[in-house]
Formats: sequence, structure tokens, C-alpha cells
Amino acid sequence: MTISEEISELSTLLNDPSTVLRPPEIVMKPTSLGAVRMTRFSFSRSLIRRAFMNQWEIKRLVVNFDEFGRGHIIYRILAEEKLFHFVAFTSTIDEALHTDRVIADVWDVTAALVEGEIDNEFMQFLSDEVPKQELSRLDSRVLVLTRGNRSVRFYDYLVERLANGKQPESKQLGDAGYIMRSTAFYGNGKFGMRSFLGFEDRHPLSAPYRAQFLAAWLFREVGYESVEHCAKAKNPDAAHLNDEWSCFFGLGNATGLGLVPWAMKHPGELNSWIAIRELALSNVRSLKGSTSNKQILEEWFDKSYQYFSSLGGDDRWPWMGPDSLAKATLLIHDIFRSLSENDFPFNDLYLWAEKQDVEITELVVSLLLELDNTDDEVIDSLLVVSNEKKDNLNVIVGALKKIIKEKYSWLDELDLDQSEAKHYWWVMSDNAEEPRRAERSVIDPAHREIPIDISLRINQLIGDLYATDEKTSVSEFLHSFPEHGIAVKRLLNDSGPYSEPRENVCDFKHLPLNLQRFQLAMYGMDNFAPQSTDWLRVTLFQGAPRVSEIGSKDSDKWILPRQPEGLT
Amino acid sequence: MCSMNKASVLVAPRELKDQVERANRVLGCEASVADRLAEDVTFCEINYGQGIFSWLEIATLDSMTLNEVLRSSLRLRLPTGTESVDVHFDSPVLFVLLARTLHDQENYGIAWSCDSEVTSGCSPVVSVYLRSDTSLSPSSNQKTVDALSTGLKVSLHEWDQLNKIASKFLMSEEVLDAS
Repeated sequence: MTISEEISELSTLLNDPSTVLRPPEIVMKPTSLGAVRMTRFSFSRSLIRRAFMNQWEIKRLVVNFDEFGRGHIIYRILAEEKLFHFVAFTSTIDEALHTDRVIADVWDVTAALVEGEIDNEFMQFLSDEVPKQELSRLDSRVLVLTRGNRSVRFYDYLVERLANGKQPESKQLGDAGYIMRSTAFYGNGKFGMRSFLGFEDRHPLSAPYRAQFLAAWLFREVGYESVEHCAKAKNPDAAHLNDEWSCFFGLGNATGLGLVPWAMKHPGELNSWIAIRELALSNVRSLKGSTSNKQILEEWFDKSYQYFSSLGGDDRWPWMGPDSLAKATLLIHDIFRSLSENDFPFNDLYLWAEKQDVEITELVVSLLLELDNTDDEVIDSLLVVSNEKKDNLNVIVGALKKIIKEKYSWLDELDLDQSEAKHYWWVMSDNAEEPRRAERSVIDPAHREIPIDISLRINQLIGDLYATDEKTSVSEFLHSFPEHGIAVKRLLNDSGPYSEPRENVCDFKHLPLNLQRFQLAMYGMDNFAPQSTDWLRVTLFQGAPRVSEIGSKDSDKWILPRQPEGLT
Repeated sequence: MCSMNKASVLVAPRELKDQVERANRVLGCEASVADRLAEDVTFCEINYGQGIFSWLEIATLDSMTLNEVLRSSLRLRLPTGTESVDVHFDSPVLFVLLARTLHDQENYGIAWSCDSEVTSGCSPVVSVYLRSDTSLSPSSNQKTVDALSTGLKVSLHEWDQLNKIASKFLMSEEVLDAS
């Protein structure tokens, strides 16, 4: 079962009366968003499917490392007749300078994904600019800028093990599954790079975040290359990571508050990401149980159990940890067995799941979606959000009131008139422009707030709208109340049913982790490990094929890898 | 008088929008006003040029005049049931503040012309003639496509001036850490 390939308009699909969708009041709740897991639509997976499907050619062109892995490495990518290069500059910095935050100014690795050939002049340009990261000035040849560090805990350990002719030991790795950890993937016009909407139609990287995830996949390769190179420098007879380990390690990532402003500023993107998932879920729920699709789901239950149980570990506030998720997977599997002879076992499983803890609900959703076969081209086209603005200022105030009544009644539940609703305001730090939140009672915003207080803005708009004649045009209204421009634009653009997280990000009780996890899952990251209310560590591409494997194996069942050597 | 320093730099449209928005906030604009003006300046720089230059002119206005000037484009409306209208400004308004709204109106079947030829963002406009024209169809904007694809060439001097103001939007890390 698939999402219709004939209809390219997301709104048309969402309005099809035969489609049973989960309502936004459930899906857009902060706790629901904060329980989302990776699916087959996540960007890391769709990138790898595309690379395999279209037989991208990825080759290591240059590796110029010294015995400590310092130097540079270049990969050449030929993707659907377009040529790219991933250029990474590597160094070794003092352990004390390693930080998970975006604000560092030195890194073990700095890298860029560029389109086109690289001549000496361009290489010199990249070697001058890329290590500067936020202080660099790039141009439209550059698509992605990234950086990161070696894992302090594991890099040297892996080098030593391989140099001694041995493989890693699972018990030494704990819950981590990466060699290097990135802290940012900049793109879309930052620092002069090419804008996302500047990719021409059918460009292989024109889907959202595809360029960033190609860069991330190659960054992961650099980790492997670097470890094996350093091991060989110590001992020419050093071992290579064996088949079990050679795909196990992903790329670590640490994510802070920057994801929250992004989510609040991109309602169209949120809607398309979530709508695609919900449409696919609806399709799967409508499936009758066949031997083959029941078997596929059973295999995913097994895979999920193996992953969580081999990872092991306690709950990770505010979320369930690997041990709990392993138990949950067994329970889900048992329930499914009891339902498997029903006419619509997948729907029945979902209906059971929605009555459980929200993490179990979303775990079931992510596993059920493995049964969807919607073509990637269809998904890619549905993901692209039109840049066309629909804020027609000729409409009248009455129309705005109608939109609020129909789509924003949930604001009534947020206590927006209480002082706690304005407890925080959002600001950008002068250090790497990192978004932060500050307490209003401690620091005066003084025109520095990032206007992501959408709930508060619409709430304030309501008061002035109801004091204005219904037939007044929006342009006249804004002439009197220019401060409502952002809220009015939000209403007029009407980005879809899944565009608004139902919360107030300035509220005292706001938990950033929910929106962060939602986006990270959409990207295709897993192993969520919160470090505070404001940031978390994750892993991406763990278990993914290596670039050298394109064309040689299944390209889509790599997620949820069981730790080599089995249970720890 | 408009001018163009010869040294230039390529910027992405979103960079320009972000920086103008931040700089607007530094000038004291409310967030919604800052957002709107940033879109105006970016559109104008891409399609007519002199967007940043004009913004730097506007930035010298006192806050009361600035707030009034920034509402100019909100007067560009064809009242319901009216075939045409002349919108007159008491003082000349820089075209940078009107260009985007006028182009948006075309999408809703409203044609426009200014009292004098507009050649760039700093062209002064005293009156705008709006008329209903149902034959108008949304046109593709090749200049925007090009700017997104290869970048937008702007005066380095103006870009630096803009960035200098915009940088004040950021808050000190030390202050944030101490709070």
C-alpha cells in the first residue's frame, strides 16, 4: 500500500475523506512529538535508498593523513550525472577543547560538501575557509559546512585495539556507537553557501536535508578511515574492523536549542514531514493482514528487540531507555500475535498502542510504517514546501477570525494570560549565534527576542481582532497594529493541520527536548540521550552501509543494529 | 543620490533577509515590522538593486518617522468594489518599501504604476496608481531563482555596514551565562 502517486498536492491527500488520519490535537502535542522515532521516511534512510537505487559512485579520491590522522581527505561523488566532492580537513586538538556545544572555535575535523570539480585554486579556498566555520565566507559551490571531533572515549581505544590486531569489545563501548561526533551541519545559504531552493528540479540533493545527510554519511566514513589509518601507522599489520563492526559505528551528534526556533519558524516543513508520516500510517492501518506483511512486521519486532536489548541501559529522563524499550517491544510483539488473525491486524495493533504510553504508541507507529512502500520520488516531491507566500492583505478581519476559530482553539488550553506563559524569551548569543533562552525577569529582551512566541502572538492578535470591524481589510488592520504582522502572516499562510506544535515555547514549563527529538527523529537519528532539559546526544547512520557497499546489499534494513558480540 | 561601491560580495538571499531583520530590531523596530521590512529590502535588492543602500538611508530616520514610513506599503490596497485608486504619499517614499507589496498585488489581479519611473530601491515615489486587471498572471521570478542558485552580488561596503549594525542584535554570551 502506498500514498497515491497520482496526487502530488499534500493538501489534496490530507483532505481525502477516505483517509483516516490521526488528529493534530494528538499528533502535535509536545509529548507526542517528543516520542517520535525514526521511520523509513527519515532523511538518513531516504538518502541511502536514493544512493543505492541510482547507483551513486562514491570514491575516496585523496587521503593525506600523517601518523596521527592529521591532514585532509577527499571523496568524489558522482550522483545522477552531478559531481560533488566532500573535503575534510583533519587535525588533533587538546581533549580539553572538545565540546558538544556549537560554540567551539577549533575541531578535530572541519569539512565541506561542494558541487563540481576541485582545482588547486578551489582547494586552497576551501583549506583557507572551511576550518574557520562560522567565520568563513563561502560561495554557491559549497552546499554544506560541517565539523566535529573524535570521540574522546573511543577513538584512541579503537586505534589501540586494531593496532594490536584485535576487534573492539562491546562492553567497552557502552551505549555509544560512534567514532566521531559532529556539532553542526550548516547549509541553505549560510555563510554564502547555495540556498536550498537554488537546487534545480530533479537535482539529486534537492530533497530537504539530503545534502546535509550526504555530508553526514561521508563524515562517518572519515571516522572509519581515520581510525584504521592511525592503527596502521602504529602497526603495519593492524587489523581492519571486521564485517560485524565495519557498519556498526555511526556518527555522534549533539544538539542544542537551535532546533526549537527552527521548528517554530517552519510550519510548512513541519506539516509536510508529519503529514507524510500520518498518510502512510493511515495506509498501513487499512491493510489486511497477509502472510508476507505480517512476517515483515514480525522481523522488525525482532530487530527492534535485539537493538534495544543489546544496547541496554536505564530510562533516560524524560524518556524510556533501552531496557524499557526492549520490554515494550516484547509486549508489542505479544499483542500483535494475539491480533494477527484479525482482518485488519495492523489497525488493531495501532488502536491498542494509542491507549499505551506515548512512547509505545510512537514505537508501534515507526515499526508499522516499515510496511509502507510509497515511492521515494513521491515522498521527495511532497516534502518540498512551496516558497510562494499566500499572505493576501486584501482579505478582511472576519476571515482571520474564522481561521482562529477553526484552527487555533487549542490556544485556550495554554494559559497564555498567566505570567508563567512569558517566563522565557529566546535570544541569539554572540558566540556562534547559538540560540538560547533567557528568563524575562532576569534579562530585558530589549528588541533582541527571536519572535518564535507564536502562541503568545496569536493570543494577543485575538484581542485586537475582536475589537475591529469584521469588514476591515487586513492591510488596514496592520496599518493600525503593525505588531501583529507575524501572527497575521501565520494565519494567512495556513501551512496545514500538522504545522503548529501545540505549546508555548516561552512558558516556564516548556521542555525543549520534545521538539528537538521530533526533528532529530525526522532527520533519522536515534539513541536519544538527554543531557539536560535543553540538549541531547544522538547517533546517526549507526548500522548504515558503507559508501563502498553501494550496489552490493539491501539498502534499507540497516537501522536498529544489534551490537556485535550480542547482549552486553 | 544612489551609488554603488565597486567592491562586491555574493550573499544568499536568506542571509540578507536575516541581517536586515536583525538590524531592524537594533533600530528599535518591533519584530513583525522588522520581518516585513527585511522581506521588502531583500526582494528589492534582488529585483531592482539598491535595497541595502536604501535601507541604510532609512536607518538614519528618527524612530517616529521610521515607524510612519514603514507603514507606507500597507496603504497599497484597492478597496473592494473599486476599479482603480491613486495612493498619494505626503512625502516621497523610497521604492524599496513598496516594491514587494506591489508585486504581490499582481498575484491578486491588481496592476500598478508609479508617478515616476522606478529604477532601483532608492527611487522616490509620491503616488501609486492601482487598477484591477484580471488578465494578470503570476510571473516566474528568474532573478530570485538566480539569486538562490548562485548568490546575490551586493556592495561589500554596504554589506559590512549592515552587518555591523546587525551584530548588535546578538546578546553577549557572558551575560547569558551569568543570568
